[in-house]
Amino acid sequence: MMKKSAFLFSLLLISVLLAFAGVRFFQAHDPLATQRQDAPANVLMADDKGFAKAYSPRPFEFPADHGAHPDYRTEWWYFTGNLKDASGRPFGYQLTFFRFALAAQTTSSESAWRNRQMYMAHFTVTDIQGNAFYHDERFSRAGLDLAGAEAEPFRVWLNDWSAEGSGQTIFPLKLTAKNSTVAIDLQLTMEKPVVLQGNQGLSQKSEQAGNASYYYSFTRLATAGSIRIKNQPFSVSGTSWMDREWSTSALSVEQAGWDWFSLQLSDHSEIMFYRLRRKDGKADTFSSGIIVEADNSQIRLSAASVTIDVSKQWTSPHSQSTYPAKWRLTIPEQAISLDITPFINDQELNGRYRYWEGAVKLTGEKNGRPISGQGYVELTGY
Amino acid sequence: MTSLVNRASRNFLLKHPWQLALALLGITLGVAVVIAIDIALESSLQSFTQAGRAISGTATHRIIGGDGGLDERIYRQLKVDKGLRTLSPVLQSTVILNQFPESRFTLLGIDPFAEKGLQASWQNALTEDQSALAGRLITEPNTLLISEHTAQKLELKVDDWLTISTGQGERKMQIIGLIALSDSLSRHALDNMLITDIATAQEVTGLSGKLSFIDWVLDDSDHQPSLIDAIRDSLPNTAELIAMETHNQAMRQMTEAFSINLNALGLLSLLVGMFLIYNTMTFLVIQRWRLIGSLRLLGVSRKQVFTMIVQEALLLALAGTGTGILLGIVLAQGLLHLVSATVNSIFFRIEGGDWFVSYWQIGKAIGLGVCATLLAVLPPALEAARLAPSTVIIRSQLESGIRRIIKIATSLSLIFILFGLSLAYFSETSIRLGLACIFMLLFGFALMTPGITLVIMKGVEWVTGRLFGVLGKLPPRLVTAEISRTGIAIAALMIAVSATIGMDLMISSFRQTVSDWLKISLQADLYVALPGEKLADNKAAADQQLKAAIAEIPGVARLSSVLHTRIRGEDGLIDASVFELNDQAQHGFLFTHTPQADIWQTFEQQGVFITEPYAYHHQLNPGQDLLLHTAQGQQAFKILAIYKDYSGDRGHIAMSRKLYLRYWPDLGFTGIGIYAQPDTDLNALEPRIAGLMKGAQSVRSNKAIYEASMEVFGQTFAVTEALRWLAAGIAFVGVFGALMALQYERTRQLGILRAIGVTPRQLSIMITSETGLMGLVAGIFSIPVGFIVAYVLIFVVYQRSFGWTMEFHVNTASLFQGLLLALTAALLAGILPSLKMAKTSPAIALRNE
Repeated sequence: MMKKSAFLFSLLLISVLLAFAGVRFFQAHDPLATQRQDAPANVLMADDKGFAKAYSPRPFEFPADHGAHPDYRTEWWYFTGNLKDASGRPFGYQLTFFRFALAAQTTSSESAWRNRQMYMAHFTVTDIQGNAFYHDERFSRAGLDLAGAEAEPFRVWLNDWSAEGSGQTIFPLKLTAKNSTVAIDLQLTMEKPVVLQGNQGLSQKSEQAGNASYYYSFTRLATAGSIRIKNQPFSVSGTSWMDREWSTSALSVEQAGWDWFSLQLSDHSEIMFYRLRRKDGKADTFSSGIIVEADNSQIRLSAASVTIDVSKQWTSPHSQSTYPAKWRLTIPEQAISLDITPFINDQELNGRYRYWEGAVKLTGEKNGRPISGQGYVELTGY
Repeated sequence: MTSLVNRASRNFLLKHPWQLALALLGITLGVAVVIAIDIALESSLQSFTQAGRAISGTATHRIIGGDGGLDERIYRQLKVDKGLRTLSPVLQSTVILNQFPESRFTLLGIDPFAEKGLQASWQNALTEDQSALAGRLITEPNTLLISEHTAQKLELKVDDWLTISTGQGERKMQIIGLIALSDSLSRHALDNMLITDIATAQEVTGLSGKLSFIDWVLDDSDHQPSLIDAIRDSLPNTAELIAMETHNQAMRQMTEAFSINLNALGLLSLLVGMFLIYNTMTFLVIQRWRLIGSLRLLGVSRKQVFTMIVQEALLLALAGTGTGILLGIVLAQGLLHLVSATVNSIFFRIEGGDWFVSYWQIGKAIGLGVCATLLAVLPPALEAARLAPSTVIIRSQLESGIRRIIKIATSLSLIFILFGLSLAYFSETSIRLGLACIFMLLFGFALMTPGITLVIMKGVEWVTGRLFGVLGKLPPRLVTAEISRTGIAIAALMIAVSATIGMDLMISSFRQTVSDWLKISLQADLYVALPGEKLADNKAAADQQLKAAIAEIPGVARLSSVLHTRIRGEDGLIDASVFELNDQAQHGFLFTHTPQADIWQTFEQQGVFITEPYAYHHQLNPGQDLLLHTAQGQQAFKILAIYKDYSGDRGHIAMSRKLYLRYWPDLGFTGIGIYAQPDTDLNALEPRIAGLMKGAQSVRSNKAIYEASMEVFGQTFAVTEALRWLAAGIAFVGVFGALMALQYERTRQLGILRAIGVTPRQLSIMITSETGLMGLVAGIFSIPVGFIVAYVLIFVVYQRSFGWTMEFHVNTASLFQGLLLALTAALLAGILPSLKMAKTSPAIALRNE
C-alpha cells in the first residue's frame, strides 16, 4: 500500500488538484489544514473525470512500471535512508519526485512548454549529530526536458535533481540533488526484491472503488556515496527505502491525514505501516501495512493488528503545529513491540506543502529478543 | 530683551501683511516647482522600475538575445545542466486588443512555477491567493490574467474574452483570473499587461522555441564571479548575460539628461523665488532701520538684531516651504502625466503610475527652501546688524549706499558672466556644468540689471522730461530713487523672462531642425509600417511577399526598405537600421561631413554609418571600426560616415541590407518606402496598398508621418513648455506682488504728490508708467540674455545631453511674447495700487505714514 510518501503525495496531489480545480486552496500557509476543511475528496471525486483509476490489481511490468503513468493524476518516486560516515556520524536523507497531471487531456501545441504534467521534488538532509535539518523543494512542468520520468533507461528528474538507473535495470540507482547548502550523491543497490503492497500492489485507501493506488516498494537498498553539508563532504553508507505509487483518488472525506512508518530492523526484516487518521480522531480501518522478513516472506498487517501509542509530542516552532514525537508500535500477533523516536524532533518540511518526515531510531523486542533499527516516519495532516 | 526684540519683529511683520505674503509666496512657489518636478520625475521613473520588478522581481542578471530572440533550449541548459535555481523565462510581446485599439498591451509569457525566490509581482500575487490559476494557465490555451487595476480601468471581469491582434493575426483569449497587487507603489506595475503562460505566449505570437529573455536571481551563496563567467562562456554567441544593475543603470542613464534638464527648470523657479525673498527681506529691513536703531539704543546687540532677522526668515522659510510642498504635490500630479508622456515618447514605455513622495524628497525640499531663504536674507541681515545704535537714517542716504553696492554688483556681474561663458567652453561634456553655466549667466545678468536700469532710466528721463515736463520725469525718477527695490524686481522679472525666451528659442530651433530633417529624410511618397514580432519564423517570408505584391501595383516605381533591429556589440545591444536604398532614398541622409564620392558603393558592401548621437555617446569618428557579434563570430565594421538623426537620443547604426544578410538572419522589414511614378495619384495609390495590409500593418503618406512625428516632438517638449510657463508664471506673480507692495508702501510719498496738486488720474498714470517702465526694462534686457541662454542651451546643454546638433532659428514671436509677458506683469501690478491711491484722500495717506 502507499508508504508514507505515498500518503503524503496523495494528500499533496489532492491539494494540487483542488487548487487547480479552482479552489483557493493554498491561501493559508497550511494546505493540509485547508484541505481538511475543504473536504478535498469531494472535489477530487467531482474532478477526476478522464483520469485512469486504480480499481483492481494489475500485473506489474518492470522496468516499464518504474516509469511514469501519465493517465493517473498523481505519482511519486520516494527515496529515504539512514546513512553513516566512516566515523559513525549518522545522517538521514529524503529525495522524492512527485508527478501531478494538471489535466486529463493533452493539448497539442507547437510550444514545447505546453505540457499537462507537473513535477515537484522534495529533498532533505538530516544532520543528526549537528541537530540540523535541511529541506528544499523544486517545481517544474515536464516538457522541454525540464522534468520527467522515463522507464528505460530509468530516469526521473526535475531540473538538476535526479534518480538515474544504469542501462537496462533500475539498480544500481544514482541519486543526485543539491542546493547551495546541502548535496547528496548516492548509489543504491537492491538487497531485497520488490514488494507489492496491499492486494498484489493495489493499495485501497478508502471504501469507494477507485480510491486506491498502485503501490510497490524496495524495502532495503544498500546505499553508498557522499553527502555535502555546507561545503563539508562526508563519505557515507547505509540503507535506503524506495516507494513507488500512483493513483487518481485516494482519501475519503472523513480522512484527515496519515502516519506512515517505514522501519528497517536489525534482524534484516522491514515493517511498513500507515495509519490513516479520521477527522474524528480515530484510526481508519483502511490503515494497513506489511512485514517483510529477512527471508523475504511477507506478513500483511491490517488496521486491527497494529497498535500505535503516542508517548510524546513536539510543537514545531515554525508552524506551531503539534506532531507526535515518540511512538510505541506493537504487533501482538507477531510479538513485536517497538519504541520509535525521531533522531531529531525538527524534521518538518515547510515548503509549499507542510508535513513532517524524518529519520527515526527504534528499539524494542521481537519474539522476546531485543531488536533495534532505524527508518523514516511521515506525518501529514497535523 | 529677547522678548522685546521678538515683539518688535512680530508687530512689524503683522503690520505689513503684503510683504509677509509676498515673501511666503516667493518661497512657496519656488519650493513647489522644485518638489513637483522631483516628484513627477521620480514617480514616472519609479513606475518604470516597478514595472521591471513586476516582471523580474529580484533578478540580478538577465540573459538576452539579439533580435533573433533567445533559443528556449538555453533555458533548459541553464536549469538542468547547469543547475541554476532561480531562473524565470519570459516571452513578451506588444499586442493590440481589438476592444481597446488606442492602448498598447504587453503579452507577458511567464512560467507560473518559476522559483519563488524571484519575487516578481505577478508571482507573489499568484502564489499568495491565485495558485489555482497557475495550473489552468499551463494547461489551457488562450488563457490569461490581468491585474485588478487593469480590469477596473477597462471594465473587464473574469471570464471575459479579449480579441488580441499580433503579427500572427487575431486570437480570442479569456481572462481566467485577476491578480491583486497589494502594494500601492506597484499597483500600476502590471497595468496593461496580459499575463499568460510561456506556452500560450509562444502560440499566440508564433514564436515557438523562443524566449525574450531569462531572468536569473543569483543567490548570495553562489555569488562567485567564476560561476558568472562559466555561465557567460557557456552561452551561445547569440545570447548575452548582463547584470540587471547595469541594465537598470543604462535605463536610468538614458533619462539622466532629461532629468537634469527638468531639475534645472525647477531650480530656476527657486532662483526667481530667491529674488523675491531677497527683495522682501531687504525691504523689511530697510523699513525698520529706525526701529532697529532704537532697539540698538535700548541695548540690543548686533548679534541679536542679526538673529532677529534670520529668525524671521527661518519662520517664513518653514511656513513657505510647508505650503510649497503641499502645492508641489498638487502640481506634481499634473506634471506626472506630462513627464510620463515624454518618457514614453522618447525613452521607454511606462504606464502612468501613481505619484509618490519620499521623505528624502520632502527633506530635500525643506533643505532647499530653508537654504535659499537664508541665503537670500543674509545680505539684509548683515546690513541690519551693521547699523550703529543712534543712527537716524534717511532714505536718500540708504539709496546712495545702495548705489555703491550697484557698482560692485555690476563689476561682479561681469565676473559671473565671464566665468559662466568660460565654464560653457571648458566643461567638455558635462550636462550639469552646462546648466550651471546658464545659471551663472542668468545670475550675472541679474546683478547687472540695477546698473543697466539706472542708465536706461537716465535716458528715459531725458526723453519723457522733454515730452511731459516735470510729471514726465517722475516715473523714471521713482524707479531710480528706489533702485534697491525696483532693481531687484526688474532682475527677477528679467531672469524669468529671459529663461522663457531662451527655452522658447531653443525649442523652436529644435522644432525647425527636426522639421527640416524630416522633410529631407522622408524621401518616399508612402510608407508601410510592419510592426510585429521579428522573431516569428514566417515574418521574413511574409514581408518579402508583401513587398513583392506592392511592387506589382501600377504606379509604384521603386521601393526601399528598412529593418530596425538590435545587434550585439561589445557592450550590449546596439540599435541598428538595416537599409535597402535606391538613389532617391540616399538623398535622405544628411551627413555631418561631405562623404567620399563612392560612399554608397562602400556602404552596400562593407561599412556602416552611425548617427550623430551614437557618435557622440560612444566617441566614435569615421574611419574607426565598430565590433559586432555575428553568427560567424566578432567582426569589425568600418564607420564610413556620421549622419544626422533626431529619432532617438541614444543613436543607432545603419548598414545595408546586403551586408546585414551576410552575417545575420533575415528578420523581414520594419518599414517599406514606396516611390510612386511621376503623375501618380497618391490618394488613389494609398488605399490600394492599404488593401494589402494585415493586422497592425499600415500605410501612411510622408505628410502623415511628418505630422505624426512633429506631434511626437510636441509631446516630448510638453513638459518643458509647461515648466517654462510655470517659471514665467511665478515670476509674473512674484513681480506683480513685489511691485504692488512697493506702491502700497509708498503711500506717504504719493500722498504728498496728491497734496501738492497731482490729480488722481495723473497719479494713476504715473504709477502705471513707473511699473510699465520697469517691465519694459526687464523685457528689453531679457531679449539679449534670452538669446545667450538659448545659445548655451542649444550648443552646450542639448548637444551634451543628446548629441544632436541644431540650427539656431530666431523666432521673433517668442521675443515679443517675452516682452509682452514682462510688460503685462508690470502694468497689471501698477493698476491696483493706482486705483487705491486715486481713491485715498491725501490727508489719510499722509497720516497713515
